[in-house]
Amino acid sequence: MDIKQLIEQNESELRRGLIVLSTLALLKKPHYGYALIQTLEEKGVPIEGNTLYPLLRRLEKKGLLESKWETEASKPRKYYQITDSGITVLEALIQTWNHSTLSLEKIIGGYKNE
Amino acid sequence: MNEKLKYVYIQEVIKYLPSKQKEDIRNELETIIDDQLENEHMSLEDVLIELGNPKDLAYRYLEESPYLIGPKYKDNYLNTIKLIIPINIFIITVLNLVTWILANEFSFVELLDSIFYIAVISFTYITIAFMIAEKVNKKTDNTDAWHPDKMDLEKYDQIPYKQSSIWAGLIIFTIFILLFNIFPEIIGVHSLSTNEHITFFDMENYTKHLIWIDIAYGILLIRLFIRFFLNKKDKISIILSVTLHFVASFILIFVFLTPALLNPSLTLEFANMNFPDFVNFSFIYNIFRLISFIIVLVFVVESYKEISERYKIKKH
Repeated sequence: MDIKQLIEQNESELRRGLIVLSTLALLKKPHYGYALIQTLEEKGVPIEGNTLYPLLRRLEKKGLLESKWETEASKPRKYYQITDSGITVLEALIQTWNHSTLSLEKIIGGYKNE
Repeated sequence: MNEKLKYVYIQEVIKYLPSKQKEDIRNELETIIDDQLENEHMSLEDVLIELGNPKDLAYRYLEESPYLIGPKYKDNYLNTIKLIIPINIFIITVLNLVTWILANEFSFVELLDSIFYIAVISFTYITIAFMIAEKVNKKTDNTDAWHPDKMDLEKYDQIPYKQSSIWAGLIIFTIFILLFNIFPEIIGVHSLSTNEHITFFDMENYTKHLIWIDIAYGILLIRLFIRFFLNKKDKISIILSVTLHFVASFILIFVFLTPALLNPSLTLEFANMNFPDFVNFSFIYNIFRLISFIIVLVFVVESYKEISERYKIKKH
């Protein structure tokens, strides 16, 4: 495997860790699947549909999201939104993220100064 | 063409999913694909390539690791177990009771033993068959370099084999395999007044012929399982089905037309039981000739039906 592939692979691993946090955070407002992909991409967290759609279903199964089919528009769409349990998990993840960011800044700062 | 491609793709995803999830995920995938087509001005092929191999997508929805018997076969497996084991228990109980009436020997312990034996054997073979089907299913689904072109668009147009005919086949198969293997002496004539029984088969040499009967039934069972698991009438399935049916029929006819299969003392035993003169060895042999003719007829009619249905689908 060459360096470029290794970088891509590890970037993907890094992003994977952010996806749940990003998704839960954005779903404070209801979104349907495709719109969520667009929003994540605009915010700099690109994700493929075949990763996001199953993830949404899994988070729903775990009680972190709830879904509802909206049939009033021209096309029926399934909207997802965060639940109270999801908010609890999100807030815990945000805390973990903040701690990790501080730690990483120290590590990366240390790396740069060496 | 696009609608068909979309439909087949979604079917290929949801076939791996539990029945409770199929409808919801089907509706969701339709919406997702339509949204991408509208907003990104991509071709349907490109949208499907982005979504990826249907099996991979299905397994992402499933989240859990691959199964011994997966969602695709789970419902059929449970239905088969629920149907076949009770039926087998019923058949073995009836056959034991008939033997009791004929031989005037009844053992409750033996009855329980044979019920337990048939239940365990049925469960084992059914489970093994479905495990093999699951493994074959995993191997034949190639996940390398998937492209929408690789999907069989005609697959969902094909008329599947009727489930009822498969169940009926399994039940008839079970009856005959138990009868010929465990209670062959029942096949004969019994006089209730004198409590005498004449067995049609020559029991001393019966096992020689039984091997061939079991081989024929084994081939018919393979044919049944191919119909059950492939469940489609494409060219290969039909050729396989007709060929297996032909081979099994040929073996059974060969066995039934062997005079040595029959009890050589039939004529004498019938005479001792005061049957009319025409009821003798030749008479019983002619009955088996008639059975062989029926086997040929069934083969011809079933093969004609299978081939003509395939031809109708092709024409359509």
